[in-house]
Amino acid sequence: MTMDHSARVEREPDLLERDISRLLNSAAFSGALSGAPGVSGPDDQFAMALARRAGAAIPPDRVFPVPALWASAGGLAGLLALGLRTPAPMGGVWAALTLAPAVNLLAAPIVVLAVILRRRVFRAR
Amino acid sequence: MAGHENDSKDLGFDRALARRMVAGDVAAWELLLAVYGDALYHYILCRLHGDRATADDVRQETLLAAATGVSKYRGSAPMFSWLCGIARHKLVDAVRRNRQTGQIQASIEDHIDEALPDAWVTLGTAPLPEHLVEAAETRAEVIRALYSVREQYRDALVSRYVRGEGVDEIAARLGRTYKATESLLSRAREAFRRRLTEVELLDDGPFGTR
Repeated sequence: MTMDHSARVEREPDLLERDISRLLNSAAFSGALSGAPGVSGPDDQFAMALARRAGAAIPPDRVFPVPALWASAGGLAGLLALGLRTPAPMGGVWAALTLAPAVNLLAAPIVVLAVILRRRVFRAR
Repeated sequence: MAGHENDSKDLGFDRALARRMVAGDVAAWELLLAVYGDALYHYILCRLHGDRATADDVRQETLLAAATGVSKYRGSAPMFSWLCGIARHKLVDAVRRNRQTGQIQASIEDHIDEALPDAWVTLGTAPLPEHLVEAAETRAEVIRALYSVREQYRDALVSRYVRGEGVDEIAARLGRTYKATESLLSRAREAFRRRLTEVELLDDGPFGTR
């Protein structure tokens, strides 16, 4: 018990502690450490705007998998339609399916290739 | 090595938060604003010598830039230091836009005070000069360093040195022993000192996490 009591006698702060105390109290004077609100108005709307912006700014390599799969599937379907010599309206549907996810760069060359091939096929006829 | 281990623990929260922020998780952005929003404002306000209107604008621009660039945050530096790095660039932009506000220009140039990094290196071995402690730039750097250490350390430092709580009071509140609390405070002081000396990290660029 005696040892426990003596351990609670606080020692004198060293130089590092004194300077940290001075620094923190100086910063606290500015209101930064007292929980003083920094900005007026609620932040929830702003948080939503930031989240939207962050989501929109995801680099292409991070959004690649799912849209790219759809684009590839669409492109492949378009080529298949051409290969099977689908009638013109059906070919348009396939082309639209291919164009829908064409935001993805992967789809663009497939679409171009599909259009060129399609023209050639029809010319050959 | 121990320093790296501590960094890794300190940055765990920031890294987890960043992963959610990148995915556009609204709750993560709300958490960012709750934990760092006001501190960022006060960091900017100190740099602007109390120009509240400009501080509000710069804070908003900083956070918008952070939203665009959060995927570039690699988690090798504290999130708050990263935000302060962006803020510094936005402060320069604000000065360029508003040349007639000479005080803003002075505040930023003052920051490149060569005495400050030297003072951090000798912290604990030589007393800090009073004018340096009271400088607005010093306050800004103190805010940056304090919000760059983990929350547990931040709370301990503020409790002990700002609110003046005794070690036994903190120990009772945290449910720790006296010795363990002393040890926590010692680690908190060391982490804070280390973050103060990292001032040059901010010069790495707007996304200074290299």
